[in-house]
Amino acid sequence: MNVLKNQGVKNFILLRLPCVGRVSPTFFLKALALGITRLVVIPCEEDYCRFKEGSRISTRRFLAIQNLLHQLGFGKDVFTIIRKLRKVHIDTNRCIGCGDCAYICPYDAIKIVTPGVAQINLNVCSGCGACAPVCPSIAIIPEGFEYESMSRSISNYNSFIRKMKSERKTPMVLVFCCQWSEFSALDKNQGDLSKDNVVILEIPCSSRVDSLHILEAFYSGFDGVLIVTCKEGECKLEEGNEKAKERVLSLKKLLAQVNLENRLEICFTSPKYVGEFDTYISSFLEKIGSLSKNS
Amino acid sequence: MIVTKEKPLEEILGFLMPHKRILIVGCDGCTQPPRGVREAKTYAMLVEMGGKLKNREIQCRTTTVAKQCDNNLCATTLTSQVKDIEAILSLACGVGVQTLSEVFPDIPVYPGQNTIFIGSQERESGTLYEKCKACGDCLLAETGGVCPITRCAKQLLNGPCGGQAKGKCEVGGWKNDCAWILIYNRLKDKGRLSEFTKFREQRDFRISQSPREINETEEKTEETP
Repeated sequence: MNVLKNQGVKNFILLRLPCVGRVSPTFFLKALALGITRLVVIPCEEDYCRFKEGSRISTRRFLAIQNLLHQLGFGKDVFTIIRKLRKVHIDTNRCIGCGDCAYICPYDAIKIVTPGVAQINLNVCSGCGACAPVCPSIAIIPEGFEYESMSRSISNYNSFIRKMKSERKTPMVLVFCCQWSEFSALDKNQGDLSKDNVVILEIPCSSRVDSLHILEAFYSGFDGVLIVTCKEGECKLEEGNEKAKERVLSLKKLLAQVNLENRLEICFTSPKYVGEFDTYISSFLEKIGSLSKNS
Repeated sequence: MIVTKEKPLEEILGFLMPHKRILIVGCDGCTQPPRGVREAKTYAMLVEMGGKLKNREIQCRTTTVAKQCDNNLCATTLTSQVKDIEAILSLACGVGVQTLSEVFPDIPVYPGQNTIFIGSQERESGTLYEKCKACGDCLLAETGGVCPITRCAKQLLNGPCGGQAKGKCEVGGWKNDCAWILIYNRLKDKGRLSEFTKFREQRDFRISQSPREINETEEKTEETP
């Protein structure tokens, strides 16, 4: 949001997309016709597209629109493009130099430098956040998906869950959704999902899924946690789904000690498998429902 | 680094049951896997949830020390944090647990880990291997960088023995490499087989006699004329 603030934008409507390559020029023209005074597009940097050249295709399209708008007599700043990629930062005061982040980084962006602290090369970092959940001292700060802010948004549900549970007897489920995998779930009317007591939290890549956040979800009263990631070999980043799978398996061992291992699941799907996510979520809800009845 | 393994939650809850307010202290030192503030927070939630299953209200706070084997660091970092604390759960090795209980003699300090060995970490397979026994008389210069005290089940100084076949050791069911075959291969590769054939006399076991201590200040004053 700081990006918009820097542009002097105060009131805005946010439209989130999996890829800017998805937007057709007529959309922008229609928006302007509706009376919207300014359009700001925030695509990835040129070489960072998770899909096939989405940012390059859109760049060509944007330039054409900009030209067209100029000819139609619109001002220069009516259509702005800001290239921005969320990156990861390291709090060197907390870093203990263990090297776990340097090992897991799929882009080799992190090095341990003397005197034993991690240093990140932001030109190479692509902001997947795989390093954050392996840091033993929580020193890694993925922009927009910081440990503290995610943790706060989970614990904020605490009172809501208590209220919901006293009103209805249905279980509450938290879904960690990789933004590249089941993004159509994010498009979905949240009302539909919250009717079933499902809360969706978006993460930049399933490798960002943090065992602490999962534990916090159970601690705050969620009855089940589902992690949604892409199918094997379809990760838009670097095998983030594999990392998430390993993490879930090792966390299940810990959870078994407090009888929660059946309440955590990972599912592999993406929008191209139409309806799969709905099937997963409804069977998961059913399973959690029957578990809650028994306990 | 010192390799530790988590104790089962059941056992930890057993120690902590009589207490209500607990401080979980991580260690940012050499414990491996790292037992820092993340581990402390994980334990805090597990202990509180596990306590609830047993109808017991346990409140946990978490913190971490740069290295728990330093009594001064422990005292300066933790003194302000232990005021209303009934018990401490240490996530460090056995050394950390003992240091904490010496620094805070009035508060019971419990171990959250079993200390296993001094070892190395192989990232690719995620395996930790025991590599050093802290015998106090290092032989590595003449054994091609492979420690026979740690890696030979019989701690032989002149090996291999008859209990090896195809480079594997009979102790532990032919799973582990024979340290002396490793040593032989290493020295052969480096053209240093003369060191292999050299006879090594019995070690002086008094050096390894526990408890051992080194006083740095005394040693330094002895040296000055």
